[in-house]
Amino acid sequence: MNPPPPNIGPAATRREFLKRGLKAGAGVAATAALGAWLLNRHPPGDFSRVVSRDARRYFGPSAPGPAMAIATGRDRAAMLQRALAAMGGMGRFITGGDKVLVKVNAAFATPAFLGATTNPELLTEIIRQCRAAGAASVVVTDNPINAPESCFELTGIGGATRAAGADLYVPGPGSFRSGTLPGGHLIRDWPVLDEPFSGITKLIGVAPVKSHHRAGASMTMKNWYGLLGGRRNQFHQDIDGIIVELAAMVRPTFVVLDGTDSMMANGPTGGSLADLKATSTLIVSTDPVAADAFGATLLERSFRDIPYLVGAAKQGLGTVDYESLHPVRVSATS
Amino acid sequence: MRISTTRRIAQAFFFALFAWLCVATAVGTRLWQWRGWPISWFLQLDPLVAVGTALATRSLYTGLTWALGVVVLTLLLGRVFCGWICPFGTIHHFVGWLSQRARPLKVRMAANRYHPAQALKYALLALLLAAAAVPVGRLSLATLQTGLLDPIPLVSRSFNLVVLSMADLLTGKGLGAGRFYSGAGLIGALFLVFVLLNIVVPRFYCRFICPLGALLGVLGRYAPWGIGARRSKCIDCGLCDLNCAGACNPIGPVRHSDCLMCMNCLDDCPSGEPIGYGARPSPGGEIATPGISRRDFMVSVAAGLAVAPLARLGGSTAGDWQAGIIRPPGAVSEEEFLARCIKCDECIRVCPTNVLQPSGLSSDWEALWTPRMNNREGRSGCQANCIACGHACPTGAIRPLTLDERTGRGEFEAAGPIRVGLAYVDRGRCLPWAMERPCIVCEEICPVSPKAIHLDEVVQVTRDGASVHLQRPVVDPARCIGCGVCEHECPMNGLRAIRVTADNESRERSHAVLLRHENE
Amino acid sequence: MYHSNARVPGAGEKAVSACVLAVLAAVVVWLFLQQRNFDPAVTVATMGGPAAAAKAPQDLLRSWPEGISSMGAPEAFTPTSLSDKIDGKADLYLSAGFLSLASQRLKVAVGSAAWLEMFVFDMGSPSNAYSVFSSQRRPGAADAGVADYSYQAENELCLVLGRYYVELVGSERSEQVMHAAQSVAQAYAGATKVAEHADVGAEKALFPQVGLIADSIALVPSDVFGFDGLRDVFVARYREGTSELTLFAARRPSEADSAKASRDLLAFFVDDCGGKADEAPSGAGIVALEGRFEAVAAVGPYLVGVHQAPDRETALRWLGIIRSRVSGQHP
Repeated sequence: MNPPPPNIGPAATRREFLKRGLKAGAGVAATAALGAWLLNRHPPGDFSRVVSRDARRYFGPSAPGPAMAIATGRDRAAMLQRALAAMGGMGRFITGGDKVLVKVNAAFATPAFLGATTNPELLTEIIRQCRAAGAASVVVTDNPINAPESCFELTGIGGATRAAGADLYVPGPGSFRSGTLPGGHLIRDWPVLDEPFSGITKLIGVAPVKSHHRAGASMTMKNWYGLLGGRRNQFHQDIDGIIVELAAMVRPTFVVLDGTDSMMANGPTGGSLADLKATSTLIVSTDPVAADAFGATLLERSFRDIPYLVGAAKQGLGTVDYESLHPVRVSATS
Repeated sequence: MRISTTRRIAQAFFFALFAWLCVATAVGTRLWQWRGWPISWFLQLDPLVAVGTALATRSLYTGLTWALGVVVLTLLLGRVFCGWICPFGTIHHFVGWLSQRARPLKVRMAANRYHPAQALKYALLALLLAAAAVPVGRLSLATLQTGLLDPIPLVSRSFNLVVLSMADLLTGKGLGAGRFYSGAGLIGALFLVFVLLNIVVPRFYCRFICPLGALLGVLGRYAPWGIGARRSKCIDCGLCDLNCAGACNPIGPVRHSDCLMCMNCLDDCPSGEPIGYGARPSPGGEIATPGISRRDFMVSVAAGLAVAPLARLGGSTAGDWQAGIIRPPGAVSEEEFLARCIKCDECIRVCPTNVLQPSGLSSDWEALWTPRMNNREGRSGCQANCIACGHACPTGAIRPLTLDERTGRGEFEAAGPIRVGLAYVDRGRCLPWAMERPCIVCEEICPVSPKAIHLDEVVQVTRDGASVHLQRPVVDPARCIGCGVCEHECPMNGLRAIRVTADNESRERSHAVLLRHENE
Repeated sequence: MYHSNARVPGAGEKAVSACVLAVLAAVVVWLFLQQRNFDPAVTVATMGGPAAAAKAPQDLLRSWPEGISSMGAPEAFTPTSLSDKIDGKADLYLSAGFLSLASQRLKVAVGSAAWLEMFVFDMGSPSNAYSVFSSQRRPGAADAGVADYSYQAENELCLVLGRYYVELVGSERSEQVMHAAQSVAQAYAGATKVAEHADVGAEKALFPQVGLIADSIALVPSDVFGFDGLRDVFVARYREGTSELTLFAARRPSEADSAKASRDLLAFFVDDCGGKADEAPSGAGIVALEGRFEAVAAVGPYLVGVHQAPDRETALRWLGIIRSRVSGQHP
């Protein structure tokens, strides 16, 4: 038999025992504390980890002045200049250091002349005016229906943005955050475009005048649909409801409604020059509801034919009686 | 009484209790049915369930506080859970003992020597916990896969779905009562492999694989007491290894994190003195830390952190979400579900209609053995007035509903009933739609009131020139709760002419078909 | 198994063993106590089975006001079985979109022989509920001031709450019974959450007050004036001198719809009822029918008119009144 092997470790001393005991005791205490802190005692309700923020995006009102200007002509840049001048100049809205977000309509990958998207000449002029008024930065964005890159390029909006020295924001999956409109039924815990808004101080909406099979018309109020993410096509089941909620969610600094060539039929995608009519009008307004109500006349309709307008007016989000705003009428034809 | 005898009594007690609770996992009021038995108690005691779900969900589900008690026990005494309580461990211990007892002493002692591969279980633990701990940011990526190898969910799954069902098949008694479980073969095979491995090495699973054992081994690091040896009296006979359950080398340096506290070494030592249970550290030396190298540990953690994103790259929780996986009523939204479900299959066992089935490998692997509905199996689709699955679920992957919430009554009237899916009529297969024959079984059997299926009346002239009055089913998505009774009863037995998919399920806003439901 | 007998269990070992066995025993006791508290899933499942649970409604109110208790289980009726309970009156409800009825008898006070029967009709929508409420309202019944709309008359209290129409009918005409009916009605209104409420204020305001027979404004859900193509029309009875007539008004979704409804109603009077079309001012139609006169017009999205006026002049005059009133309120 082999000699017994010697002890190879330190014998358990009282000190060692106490050390271990303390560490074990600390472990017990930590377990209890951690358990108490994490304990989810109530019957589980909705485990949703998503914290929904207030979806409202308010960027108005601006300094007092005319609420609406209607310009006639064929040159978009000239009409915009006249209209803004009539409203008190771009300086009324944009001041030094402002970070401006321009929400265009880039929903489809169609060329600009088909009138389904925001016209790049108009966008160029808006960016120019912002910078001239002292804006620190101008960002152009939309959440298109078709693939974002091709939409911004084919419509000419991407090129115009870059040429004018503004930044183009192309949304990706991380650009949205869950938002809820207080009092809303539809915009609840819904992904809303968020990232390009950080640091923004002014919001301008630019949209063409188009008819829309489902909603009646697509103008400045429907333009905010591009701020929704997720599977937003669901909302077509209550298109009027969602447009009204979007109008409650967004208060822009002002909107530009481009009625130079209005899409009279087959909207919102159009697709043929025959759909367009040269209505030669451009509207600038701090009240999108009034702008759209006037835009309806360009489509040879009354605001009463467009349920979302009636709904928005009922909720006090603007007025359909645009004449009551004493719009300034200017001409850019000379 | 010898402590090892007490340990055997404890093992037998807990094993019998576990088996009893499995048998009792059936809705009913008789003594051998659910009544008030705590059917999920062993799962609630399991610290890996608690730690895994706590990491993945940043909360501790009520009921899992039992596990805190086991953690405290382990902090103070080491792996007593493994040696005295774990029913899976008891099975391994028993099979190992059975197969070893006829073998020569030298063989038996050699089988219980420490093997470096025993470090594998720590690597598995690290991998599984890392996968569960992936930070939750904009994209929730934590995936709880501990249930695949965690012994209590594993033995629960195997016992409930396989062992009891096989016993029922063989004896014809009502234990399993004609129930079927898809993929039971795979579950049973895994169980069988682990059990049979004990013939090669006793308690193979406990030593090499068990992530819970690894966790408890880590937790017992500072336990003040443990097995130890006074080697001055030792004659180096090696008999302490004869029945050592954990292969922890009790004579020293003892690997405390592998010691299962079976206390056999105390009895096997011929002189009765060298091996003892006392204050740590053992004079014979100890290796207090787990036998895994730092490098191997980091590799496992890194692999675990990659698991969840890897799992989600297929888009299975995004655009390619699994519409064929209909979750039980009360299930939380899918990403949270995958962070809570431990694949214990309690819900599948308790479901009175046997419609809940374990997901197999044909769908997304991440959801392996999580519950889904198969309306072709079982007695009747999902009963509209049953809330059993959520009350059996130990981790809250399925919420314990009230009947009012399930059926949309009382304070839940505005929210409406819980929908698990939507039924779609396959007009190319349906008798009145495609084959000029009357039927309407689905409409008759639809359990909601008013019915979610209404009938379009039409008179059609058949090929013989006769006129037949047909009533053709049309589903109303505003009323359909996706219970699947229609699919179950449809006489088109092969591919049913009305089938439910998980569209419009209440738990996921993004899967909604309708913008709003009538009650909202 | 092999084990050496060299070791004798020490006192400490025996104590630990005893403790462990005690813990096991405690577990057994705990289990025995636990198994007696049935899990809610078990209770729910054994409530008489799923079919019974679905069919047997719970007490109509979770908790009754003080002194009031149920006299038996509630009864449930479907459209097919409704006439078993209310006989011929079932038609009124069925034509108004009836879905289900739950009824229960209640004791009004301890020691009293009087009882109340509570009928809760699920009419499917608030306007359906309002229509059965208004068409059965007795003239001169006082507003009971509870729920959306309510009245109290003789031995009954009737109310509308969302899509539910509730009748509380007493076994006798006494203060005690009516007081009990009031408290049950209030408790019901407080405990029941509904998604949508009827709001008929705007429609009621369409009718002029002069000559209006009190509380006669009612919503007829279907088969208005016997015409099955006309639904959801508000009618009101008027008295002028010794004769009576009815004014009606209904909002349709659009001008085109109201114009069509007006044409259809006039066609019904002429083609189906054998009336004779008479000369009428523009935008309106007049039909002489069985000695009385019908006048129909569309004002914007509103369908308005006069039913069973005694003569043409009266019909025209009242038509003018309702037309100008509607167009004045809704330009």
